[in-house]
Amino acid sequence: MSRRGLLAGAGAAALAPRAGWTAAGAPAFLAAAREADASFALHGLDARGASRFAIPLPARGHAAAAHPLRPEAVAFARRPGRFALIVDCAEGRETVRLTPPPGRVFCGHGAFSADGGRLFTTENAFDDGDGRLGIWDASAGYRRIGEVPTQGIGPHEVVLSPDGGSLVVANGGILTHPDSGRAKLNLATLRPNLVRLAVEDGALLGQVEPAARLRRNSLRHLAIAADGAVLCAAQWEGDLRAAPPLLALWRPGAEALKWRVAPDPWQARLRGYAGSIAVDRSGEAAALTAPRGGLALIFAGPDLSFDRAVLRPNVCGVAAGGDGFVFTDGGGGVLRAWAGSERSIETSAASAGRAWDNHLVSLSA
Amino acid sequence: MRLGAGLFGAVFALGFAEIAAAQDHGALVDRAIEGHVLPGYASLSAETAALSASAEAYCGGEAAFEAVETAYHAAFDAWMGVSHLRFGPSEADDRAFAIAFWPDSRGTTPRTLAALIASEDPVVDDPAGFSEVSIAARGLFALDALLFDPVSGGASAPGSYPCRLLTAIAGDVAFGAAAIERDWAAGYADLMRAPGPRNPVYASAAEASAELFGALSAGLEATADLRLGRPLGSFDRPRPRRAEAWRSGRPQRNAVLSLAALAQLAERAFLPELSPEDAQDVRDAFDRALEVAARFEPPMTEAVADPARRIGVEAARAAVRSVQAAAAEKIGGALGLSAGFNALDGD
Repeated sequence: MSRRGLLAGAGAAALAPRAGWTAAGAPAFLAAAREADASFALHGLDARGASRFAIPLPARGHAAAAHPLRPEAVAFARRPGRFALIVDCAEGRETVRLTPPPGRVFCGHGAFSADGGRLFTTENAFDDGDGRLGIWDASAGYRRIGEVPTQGIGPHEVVLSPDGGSLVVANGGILTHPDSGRAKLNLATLRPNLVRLAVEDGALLGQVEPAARLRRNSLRHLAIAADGAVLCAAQWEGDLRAAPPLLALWRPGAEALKWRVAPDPWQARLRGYAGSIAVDRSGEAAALTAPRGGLALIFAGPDLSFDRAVLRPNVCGVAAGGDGFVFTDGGGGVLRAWAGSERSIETSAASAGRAWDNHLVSLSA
Repeated sequence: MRLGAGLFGAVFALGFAEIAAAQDHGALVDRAIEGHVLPGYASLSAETAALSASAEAYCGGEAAFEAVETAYHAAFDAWMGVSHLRFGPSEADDRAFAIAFWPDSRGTTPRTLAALIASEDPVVDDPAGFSEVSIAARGLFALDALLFDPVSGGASAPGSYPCRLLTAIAGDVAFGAAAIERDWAAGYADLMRAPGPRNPVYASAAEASAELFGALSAGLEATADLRLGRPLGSFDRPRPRRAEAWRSGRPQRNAVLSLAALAQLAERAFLPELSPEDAQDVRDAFDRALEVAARFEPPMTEAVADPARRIGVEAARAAVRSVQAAAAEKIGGALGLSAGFNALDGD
């Protein structure tokens, strides 16, 4: 396999169609925030991380997903989510508000189909306790048109495969119910998995789960490379002395996850919790953030070996940006760092009272 | 202090004291371990050993069933003293889940017990084998069903299969509790007390005190959202059988005892780091929650479904939420622990 083999061309193929509309003045990134006055907002950020617009949110936000063709994105509430906002990114305003159907709550993430015609949202069907992927008609005012099972409990992030034919869902395995907020109801029997579902009909195309000793590793966040390799960030629900691996690689068709770990002392410094994951535009590097440990790790090369650590308190959001990665933190700062380099540059200083929420979503190629 | 007694020295000393008071995570961790964690697990270990002994005595025809009931309640009381300490030793080998499998959203415990009883599975006569049995059929909640629910077990006659099952479960609980106590004494306490770059879990004393603050917060969340919120369900659909250990009539007692344990953790570990005013605010919030949680007329299974009494359970939940708010603001604020916007909670 060539050096560029595994992750080659990650961003380019999937994101190229958006280049047209972002040039027209839309921001480079979206991120949810908590403001100094304790209110919540969705921000459009320029390439350096400065806020270009802010839209008030009724409650804490989480992640967002960009429409592949239109200057439009959907921003999700933090789970258990009762709203999702369709945002006109050029104008910086809300155009449509989605609410989950009865018996469902949003789980914080979603993805569009390649043609932009459909939006898929991860949802908890809380009375049955299993996961659903809600389907919305993005070409007709975001009408709800159906749902399919995610084949697991507590789905969290969903991403579209580079060929547009399948969706990969991280079923974190954690059962919750709105009656008990975010309390975790089934950690004793946790059984997370990753599934690949057909975009066309939700058919199960593939499934993988951690080995028995890692069953308490909730699989939650995803990035996907141009060749379809799936990268997953986990959160460990067990004894931290295990210094569990938190970055899993699922190659297309593989029957097991391959875990990537950093050497001492970095792996233990993650404190069993990875918050976000991203692949850079070269497709040769991935970044994993660990807000509890106050650092991000960059892995690079065909086998994704450990490259470097970036120390930053409360760092959580990460996305590809320029020829490296852009990170956001809970102190309101924005940072750039690169694989194969010791450099990291703060492009937007911590701002009094603003906390960037878990995810940074890239809108541009 | 060597700077002497001059004005500068006095001001310096005061300033130093204030900084130390605001940041002495190491002393906080010490107080939590000595004043809360170790005594709590010692009590759990002792009470579960007593429960195991009384189960053996009863099933051997040497004691009355009431002795088992009494020991069960004492052991469960002790569990409430530590049920919020869900890190390290309690999580290794699924020990805490084997002691307390709850919530049981899908009714697995009674079903698994019934299957063991129906097949008279001989695994109950082999302690090592029993530790491999589904955790749904182990622990205090299995005893709640076995001892107090006539459908899944009922008071079982000495010598019967259910009595052998009772002995196995009680022995297994005692084994797990002793393992947690040993793990703390043999290493985890030192791990928390000696943070640093080579420590595999805690790089700083602040991380160790953040772990304890997380346990305090999670314990309050469990009482508000699980012990009270889940049985409350909605007004139109209360869910009494989601109450914790409802078969043995413990839901309200558990809520109160858990609050008392959390109040002890706060009082002994955290409040000495706060200003007297802030400490009193947290104390008042706990006192009020303890009072309100004890006030509604039990059993909780009836209270949540009775429009007139339900409000008392709702008031208890609201009072616990006030403690959550006070702890987040006063303790989290003073210790710089509430700043972790992305770090304290999952996702």
